[in-house]
Amino acid sequence: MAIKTISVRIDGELVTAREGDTILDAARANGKQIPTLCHHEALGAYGACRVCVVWAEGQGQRPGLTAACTTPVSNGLAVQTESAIVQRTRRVIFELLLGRSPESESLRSIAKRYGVTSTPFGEGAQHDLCVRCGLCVRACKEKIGVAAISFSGRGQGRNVSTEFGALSELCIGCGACAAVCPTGMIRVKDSGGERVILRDDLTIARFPLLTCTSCRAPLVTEKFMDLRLQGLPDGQSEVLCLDCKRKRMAATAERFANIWS
Amino acid sequence: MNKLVIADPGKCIGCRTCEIACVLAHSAADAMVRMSPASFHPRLMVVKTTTVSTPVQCRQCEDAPCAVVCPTGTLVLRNNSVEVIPSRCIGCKSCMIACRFGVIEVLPCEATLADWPLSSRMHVEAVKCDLCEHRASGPACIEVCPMKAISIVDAIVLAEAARKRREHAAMVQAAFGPGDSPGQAST
Amino acid sequence: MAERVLTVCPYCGSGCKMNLLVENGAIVGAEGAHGVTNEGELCLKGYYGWDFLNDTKLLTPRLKKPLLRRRRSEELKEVSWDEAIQFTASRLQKIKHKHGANSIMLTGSARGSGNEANYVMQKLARAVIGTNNIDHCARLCHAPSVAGLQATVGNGAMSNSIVELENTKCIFVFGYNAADSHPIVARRIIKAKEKGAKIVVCDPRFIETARIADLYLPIKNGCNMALVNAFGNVLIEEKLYNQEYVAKHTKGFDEYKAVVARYTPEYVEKIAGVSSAQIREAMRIYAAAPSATIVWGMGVTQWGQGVSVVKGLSALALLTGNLGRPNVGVDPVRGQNNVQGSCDMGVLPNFFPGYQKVTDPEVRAKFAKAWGVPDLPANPGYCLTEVPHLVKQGKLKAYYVMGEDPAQSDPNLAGIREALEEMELVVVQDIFMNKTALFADVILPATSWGEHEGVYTCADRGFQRFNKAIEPQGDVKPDWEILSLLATAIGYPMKYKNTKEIWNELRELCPLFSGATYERMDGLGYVQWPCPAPSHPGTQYLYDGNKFDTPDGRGYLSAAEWIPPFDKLDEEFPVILCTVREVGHYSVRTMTGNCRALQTLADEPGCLQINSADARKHGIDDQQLVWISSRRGKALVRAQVTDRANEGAVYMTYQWWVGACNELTVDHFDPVSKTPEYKYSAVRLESIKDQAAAEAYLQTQYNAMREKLTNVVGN
Repeated sequence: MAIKTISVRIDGELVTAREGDTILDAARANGKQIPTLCHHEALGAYGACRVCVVWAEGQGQRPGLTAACTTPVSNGLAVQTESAIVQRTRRVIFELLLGRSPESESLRSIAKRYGVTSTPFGEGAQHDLCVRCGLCVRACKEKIGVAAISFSGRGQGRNVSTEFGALSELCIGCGACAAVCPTGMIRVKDSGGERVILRDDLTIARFPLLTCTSCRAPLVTEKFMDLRLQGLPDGQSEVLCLDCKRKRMAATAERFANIWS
Repeated sequence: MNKLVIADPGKCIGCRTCEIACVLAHSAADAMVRMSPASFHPRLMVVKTTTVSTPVQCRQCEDAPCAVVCPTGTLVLRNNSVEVIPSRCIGCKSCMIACRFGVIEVLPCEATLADWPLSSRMHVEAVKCDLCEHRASGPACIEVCPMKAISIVDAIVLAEAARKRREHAAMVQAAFGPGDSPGQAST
Repeated sequence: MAERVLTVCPYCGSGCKMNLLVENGAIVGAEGAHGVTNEGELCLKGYYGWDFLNDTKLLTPRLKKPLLRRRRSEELKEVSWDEAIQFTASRLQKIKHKHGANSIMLTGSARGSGNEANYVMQKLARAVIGTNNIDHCARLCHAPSVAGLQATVGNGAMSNSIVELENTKCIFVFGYNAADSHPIVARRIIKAKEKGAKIVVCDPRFIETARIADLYLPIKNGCNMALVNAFGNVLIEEKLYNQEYVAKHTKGFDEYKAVVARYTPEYVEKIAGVSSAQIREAMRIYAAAPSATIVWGMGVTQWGQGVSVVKGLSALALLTGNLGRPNVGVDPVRGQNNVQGSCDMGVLPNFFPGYQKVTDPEVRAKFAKAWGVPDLPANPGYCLTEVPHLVKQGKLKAYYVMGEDPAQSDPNLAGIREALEEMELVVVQDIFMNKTALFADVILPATSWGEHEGVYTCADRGFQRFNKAIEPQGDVKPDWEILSLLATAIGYPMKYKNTKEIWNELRELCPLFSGATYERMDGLGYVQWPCPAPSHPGTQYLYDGNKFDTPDGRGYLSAAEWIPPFDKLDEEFPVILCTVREVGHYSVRTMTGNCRALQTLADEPGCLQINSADARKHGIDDQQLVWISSRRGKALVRAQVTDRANEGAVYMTYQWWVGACNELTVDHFDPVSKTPEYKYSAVRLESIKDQAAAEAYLQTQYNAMREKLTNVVGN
């Protein structure tokens, strides 16, 4: 089934997009940079941070600001990514984000690139590193499939939490949430054979780590082994650290000595 | 059949020239100036056990367990290899645990503003041998190894090696006679 | 677009030709060139060992201006070249007048300086200062090979060439680790094996070559002479030796036979730690091969009996007729890129350039005439390993060190430090600040490899030209120019236009090198001495027709009684320490320590290779920091648990500061060659409970050392 192509105009240039693409998809496919924060190629578009704001107008699209990551392209759509109002709006968005998370180094460095080094917002409000981008929540729910954390509360009280804020029984300790977090709000700490997943002062989960069957180095949680390796045939879920696996591979490689000559 | 980079332990002297070449081939042009142990992540790693020295690297498995367990489609079987789409990685490390050989790692990478959507401070990505597809002259490790111990193996090379082994087996068999071949019960 | 400058790698003695890629006056890369020995290949040092030229300041700062202090209590200050030269000249002359010319010791450099600079240095020592106290770091490594081979076959260098190694039918490896010392030589060994050669390895460790060997003898540390005698015994008793060859081309057979008679394989079993069957098998393989080559390295030479063992290995080759034709030979594989050249250039207390004896009055007259002096010193001078002892005796007052770092590479570093402090004058001429320079009264900054041109001699006597690729930064001069200015200031006018002029001068004086003109070394040119005339093709292998360079043209069979190692093991120091190399760094690390890629792979405090049983016994885990001490000193090092190391012995490399193995090594020497017994020191290991504290200590020590060296230079 052929994918229908659509013509849209981005910053005055006529480009080809595919039906079903978002403005962000079309822009990236045609080499145009639009900044994002809560967007991840593997996770569903969320539109939480609004950093990807652009101006769009066209058939079925009232002229105005919109998030490029969640707005579908349509025939005759015209998009401005760097017009004055887009730039102004984007700066305010960064200021708002900084108002919540003034201590985030990564946010500061992205904001600086767009000319934002300070913010009039958030004085006296509660600051933390979480920009409420939802990457952790989406990764855990959509891809890991356990939904150990999710958004809670509304408005200023919106936060990311476990069920009832207690130690999660669903978490498998993979650390994907920490890996996708842009500011380091969620961290994984491994020490003394134990893994702790922390979100500021909320402990999301705590696990003993299984150790490498060969050298006893702490490696991975049992729940991770149970859930993440399901797709593999039996006998392939072994607990071996990288070094020991490599040593084993080297030993078998000996059989290949001089094979090619 | 997937093609793969593989080293001959009979020739390896464990010098690690290949590791440096690999890191430089996967870094920006000025990488030599910024190289440090913290950022040194070659995709092939020299292993020295008591009896063998050899670099180990991704075997581009036909049934790649890393691709099977990846929840985001970061690892795909394509172009006769297991390819990585780094922008899809969410850092769950399922691939690291699933890999039989320990040759894929999930590592933080300092994304440069030029080549990365501004979505993360430190993006993580799955890192493994990519056959240096981006290099005109092919794998950097093969180029620099002073022993010429590393080579690319594909279906043709493997078939040739198998053919040589069959020939050799036939010669052995001819020398000993069919009834005395090792492992063959005499009738 | 990068320009390609053809040159020779500055690290090991393989003599790899390479191209430096130069863009906008800076080096941006390196690639192999099709040289005779390397055929286009390089190892990681060749590929990635050039960025020290960008003054990375990773380890030490580059010396960019002459430094001087008139009193040791003062700090070194930047001065002009005039002042530095005048100061050095006048101080040297004062010391010479007060204590005699022989109170001054000088070194040449086996590394970047080049043959021409070394020639000028020994000329300065002999013609200008009037002493034969000129030496270099071959004293620490292959001096026994030079002495042993000269005594038995007449020429102290590799008898056959690196290229021939891949065509020999048997490679007999004794105390030599090609993989770590000379990857390009290891390549030849692998190729030889592919062509069906038999590989025999004698080494306490399971080195890379042992992995591919047909026969591996895991010998005990310190058994060399006994084992080599046993080999001779087997050749004779089992009638494996070439009787005709021995009768026609050797002498001393009867005395040799008498000495080795009691070294039966059965007797030597306990000393060598290998079975008599293995000892016999080794010689059966060696003798049966139509062509066989013995290669050796520090495992033979860095012992108190190094010279005797070399003579013993030479005897094995003579007994079996493995000399005087292609693809055979006795090959002491010279370590550094120009250590062979330093010997060739007479940076030796007993030889003029071209191996002409200082004790020969005709030779002295020839050089005196050429150099325009009435006479030259007649007695052999001191060896550099004797320096600490001589300073204690009040016999040495000044030390001029060019391109070497004795405060890092000498055995028993505490001893050399004391000596340096005692001396009235220490002059250091180098490219980087190093530990020896901390004791200097004057530091003369030289140009580095890459910034000047000249000739190197690689391990198999091959002259090759290396070229200048970039302009030096800072107020530096080529070594030969500094020495010329100094000579002139002392009262001996010396001025050369370029290195070619120096080369032509020495060619006239050295019959062995006369035919090796600059033109013949253009491009990938490679001239192996002896090369007595421009029409002579050079000599790939020596002793053609079995004519040895001895007085009577015969090879001399020699054996000696085994003497056990000097440093005794006891309850306090129960473990053997042996020093080794690693492939990613070179020598005292002034250059590779400033190369990013190479530093990334290996850094302080260096590794202690230790067998897993020993590690368990001492409660040491892999990668843990460990204290190691001997009767002479202490060092901190990181354990690398590997069963490639034998039980009862541990192995360290000698380039680290915090993990400085030479704090521990024993200053016991071979009586003839004065080479230290680096391969056997008695040590004690102590595991460290608080690893975090140890790591912190390591960092503070390392940083303190770096700061100390950086502050001297002031940038």
